[in-house]
Amino acid sequence: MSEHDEQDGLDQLERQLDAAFAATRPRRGFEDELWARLEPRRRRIGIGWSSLVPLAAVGGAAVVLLAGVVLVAVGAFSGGFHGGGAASTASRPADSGGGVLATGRTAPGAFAPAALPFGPVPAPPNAGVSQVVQDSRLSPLPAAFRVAIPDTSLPQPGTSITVFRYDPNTGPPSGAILEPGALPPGIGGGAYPSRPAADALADASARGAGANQSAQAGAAVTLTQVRLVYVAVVAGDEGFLEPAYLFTGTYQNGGDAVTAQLLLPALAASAVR
Amino acid sequence: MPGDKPPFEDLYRDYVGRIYAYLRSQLGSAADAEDVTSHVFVKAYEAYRRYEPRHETPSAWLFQIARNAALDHHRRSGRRERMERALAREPAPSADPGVMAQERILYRELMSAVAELPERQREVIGLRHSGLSFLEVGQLMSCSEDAAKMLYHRSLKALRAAMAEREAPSPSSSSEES
Repeated sequence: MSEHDEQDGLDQLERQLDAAFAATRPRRGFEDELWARLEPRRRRIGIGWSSLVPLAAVGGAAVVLLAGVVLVAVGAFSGGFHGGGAASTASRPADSGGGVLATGRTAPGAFAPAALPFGPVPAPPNAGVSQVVQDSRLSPLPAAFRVAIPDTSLPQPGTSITVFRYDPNTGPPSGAILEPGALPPGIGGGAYPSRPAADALADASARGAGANQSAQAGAAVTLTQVRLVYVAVVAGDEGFLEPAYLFTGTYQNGGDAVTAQLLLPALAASAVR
Repeated sequence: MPGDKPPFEDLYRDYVGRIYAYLRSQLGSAADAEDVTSHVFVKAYEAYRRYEPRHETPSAWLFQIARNAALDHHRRSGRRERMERALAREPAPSADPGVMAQERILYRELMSAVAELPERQREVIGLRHSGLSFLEVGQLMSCSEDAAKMLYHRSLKALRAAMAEREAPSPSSSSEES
């Protein structure tokens, strides 16, 4: 077969494929049946179906709702977070010299589950489990750890911190760790109650990961650094970027010191399911 | 206007047929294509508030969801199980060409042959013939536009060979005649 004939054959096959795809349609009635099944979801979610409802059409209530849910002011982070700044809407998380976005301070205990913008969020995978970082793989370590970080260097966030929600079809996979300045653009967030790093460590220790559980000093992970990160957590159809403290340090494996890490949620227990 | 977000109903009506055809080419059976099409539009509806048209076209956004759903379906179902279901549910083609138009027989055979291609060949043909540009196909398949074009042309040749094999007389028929 000449090259010309071969190309003619392929061109014909392309046309046949175009026609086949155009002619392939679901059985009669399928389209309307599926549409009818989507309708209860529309009512549950409560947004307009045939058109986007302009905010102005529903008055100030929608604007107030958005201001409470979508992310906002930038706080500076230098060994700690500082809540502050008036709330405003933003569609892109902004980085302020390594700072983390946080809303203004609120009184302790002011958050009730109903006030959590996305409801209680799922706990990050492997949270609270010391892991060794070796050859880009993570392996669980014995639970004991000791903290070699001055108390004054432990992050002290404001009483609230931002959680972001994203579409898991197009965002980072569950378990991915992102720096605050490298979050995907165009995702919304909301304020969640936070806890200081010291409280997170105390909680982990009480659950059996503390150094006082270890009989041998060499068996514990020594934590020497901490920073705030965001962890991607996918649950069903939703993805969340949740703030967490990433502690790093070393673990003595025989005569070798390996890099270890411990990830603890930066959210208050009431915000995590 | 470009970047405006259409009402979800418009998106649904415009794309449900195309998404179904794409999934039919990937999964091989009408029943599976219906099931997964339903799943795609449920997910799309629930994610629609977060969809930003300035980041990607509705077509690319929807076909990303559809592609992921097809891949998930393949992972959950073994290939043999899938083909068995396809054979069990599909009406047997009539031996009389007068009952089904010749064109419909050909289209059915083509879609079936596409569904039996290796994964990336199947995907590139399905996406390209669902109306996506080579640039969009490349983005969805994590390759360059040029790589998508080359893969598509290789896949067409593979499909043509597969169709020729389907049309060739079986060895058993020739042995019966001898």
